[in-house]
Amino acid sequence: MTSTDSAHIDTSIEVTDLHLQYGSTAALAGIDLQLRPDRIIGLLGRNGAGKTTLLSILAGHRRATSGAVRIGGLDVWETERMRDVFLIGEGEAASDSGRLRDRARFVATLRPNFDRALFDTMLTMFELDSRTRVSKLSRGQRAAAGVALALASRSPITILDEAHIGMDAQNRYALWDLMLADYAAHPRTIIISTHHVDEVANVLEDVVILEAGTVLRHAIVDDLVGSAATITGPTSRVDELVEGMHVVADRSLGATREVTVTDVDTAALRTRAGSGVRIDTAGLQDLFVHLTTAARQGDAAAQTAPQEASA
Amino acid sequence: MIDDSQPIYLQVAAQIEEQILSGDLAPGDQVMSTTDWATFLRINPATAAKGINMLVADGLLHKRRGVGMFVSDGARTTLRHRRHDAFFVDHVDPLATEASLLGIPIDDVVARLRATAAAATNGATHNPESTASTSSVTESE
Repeated sequence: MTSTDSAHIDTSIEVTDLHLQYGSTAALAGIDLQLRPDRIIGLLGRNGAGKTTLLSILAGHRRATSGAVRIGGLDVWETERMRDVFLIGEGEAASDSGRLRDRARFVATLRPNFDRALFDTMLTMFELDSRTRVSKLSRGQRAAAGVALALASRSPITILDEAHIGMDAQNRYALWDLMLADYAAHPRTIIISTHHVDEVANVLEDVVILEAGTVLRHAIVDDLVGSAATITGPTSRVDELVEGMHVVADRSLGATREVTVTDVDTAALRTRAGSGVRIDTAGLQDLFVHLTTAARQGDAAAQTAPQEASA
Repeated sequence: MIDDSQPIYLQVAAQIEEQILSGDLAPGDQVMSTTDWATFLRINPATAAKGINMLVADGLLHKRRGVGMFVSDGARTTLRHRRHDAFFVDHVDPLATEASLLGIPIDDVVARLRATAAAATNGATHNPESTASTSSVTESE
């Protein structure tokens, strides 16, 4: 197209005090976020945590009740910005009667960076034919086609809202390989929302964990995982080691205790632990489960014992 | 290739260190790029870069602008020195503890270590010289 190379726009995203109210239910209850530009970001949360709601507001598909979303300093509602964000959700375009190549042509008219060759490569990879009508595709094929459109759009901000969920394992692996290679060549912001964390954990650079419409955690994955540990050993030794630490999970089997802690100096912990106590890395999926579970238990505890909540 | 034993960037660094120690990567050799590592291990490029940059900061690798990443002179010696102390703490001490737990005499452990080390040495030298003799045996058909 023209000289407008929107691949190099500032893709930092600033979300300020975002609320979305459905009647008496708060889907988003005050989100504040500053997303670094050109990262692969994971948006994690349990069902109903507000992932899809937040993403649809980021993409300008829906208005918030209050608060602001700025991309590169500009309001997301500016037409120029809306062109730069591509959101694809799960099972999108189910009733589309056109062919895949028509979809591609349509997307290309709206997205100046759309790369038809990349789209065709992905179709081949996913064993899809561009002449097939979208309505004739299976659930998994439709998901694959949607993801292919999203990545081939090379939109400065590309959002996969559980878009990959219906794809089979072979295609998902192929997708991550291609996404990493294309991202390295064309850095941009890619937001992946999912609650199947294990599979995407390694491809993410940053992570945002939502819980009950608020941000529970926003971190660099390496920092979060690098400062967490699972400690297993005799109860008394483990108790002594984790004294004063932020414990997010805790279970006992006889005289053995297994505790997961976050925000610790794991190197120092290993040195202090010595023999007889095992220190393991806690994976992102485990931390996600522990942190969200602890948050709910914390809420419950805060409601029953409000005087201790400030501890 | 990637497991949960430690953060991924440390595993990337460890894999390159292994290649330097084994001699697969010699001084002056080019190391796979951040992107190559990222796609090969299916990890985020920033994570791969973090591991590689750690080795650059340690002086084991150096960057040549616009060309890539290379193994520095003396990298293998540096690594051997650094791993020397850790070796006794990480491997020998637990071995002694486990042997005593199982009631295995230390002399038996030492004998086994000698035998394994001898086999490893023979195996390691078979490449250039002894391959000829090995193949001459099999070729005498």
